[in-house]
Amino acid sequence: MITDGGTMSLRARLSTVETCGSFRTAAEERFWDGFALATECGDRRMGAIYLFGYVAEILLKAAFYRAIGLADTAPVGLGAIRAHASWQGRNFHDIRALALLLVDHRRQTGAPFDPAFAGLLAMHAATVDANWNESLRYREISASDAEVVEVYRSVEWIRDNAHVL
Amino acid sequence: MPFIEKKYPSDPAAYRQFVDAIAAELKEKSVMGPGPRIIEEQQRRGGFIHVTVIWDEWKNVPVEDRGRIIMDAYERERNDVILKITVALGLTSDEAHRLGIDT
Repeated sequence: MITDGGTMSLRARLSTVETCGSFRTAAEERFWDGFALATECGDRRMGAIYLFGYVAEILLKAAFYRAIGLADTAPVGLGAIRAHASWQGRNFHDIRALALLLVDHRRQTGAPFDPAFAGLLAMHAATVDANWNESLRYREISASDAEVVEVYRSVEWIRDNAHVL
Repeated sequence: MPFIEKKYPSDPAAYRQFVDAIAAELKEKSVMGPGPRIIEEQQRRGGFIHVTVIWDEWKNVPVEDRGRIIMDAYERERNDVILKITVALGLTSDEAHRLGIDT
């Protein structure tokens, strides 16, 4: 039995509270996990895209929670997204809808993005969305080099701009 | 010590030509033709608009410049809606098709 984590199992060690801060830390960890898969020898590109998609999702959710005024340490939940009048996602993994929710919320609260910047955000979210959804884990499919690079670039843009989202 | 020169990538004359072309399309509102295809998508709340301009001439324009070109064209021809625009995005037809937003 492997007990590197001490006497508690990994699940038992998980915090029951999710926060903006923990979201951003998790996104950073998943980004580098994905990067390791993307650059590994052998066909691990699908795994890289699978993780990169979650990075985009987590960063957009963290940005939304911050935009509605939650502090880094405040608990977050999907209820705030579900209850928002502008939410039009097919589910809570909908990257395009998360990006547009953020754009709409910022506009309605008097802190809009520059429309050209919002266009870039929408484009990068759409690029991730065109290559990813959460059900990829059930699918047997390979990704090309071009696809992993495309997703990586868009997720990198979202990550690079996360502080102003 | 290394010398690094970073030039501004956009050609101002070309930039103006792109603004002119989109402004002309906004004025003419042609139904057919090879010019930029402008999609104004009204949003559910607040009367806000997402503008997508699909045009193969974007091919050599950095994606970072396209939204600004669109906004400059709107400022010239459709100043009445400029404050309603929340998203301005320029894509080639291939890019739009790949992203599923070419309708």
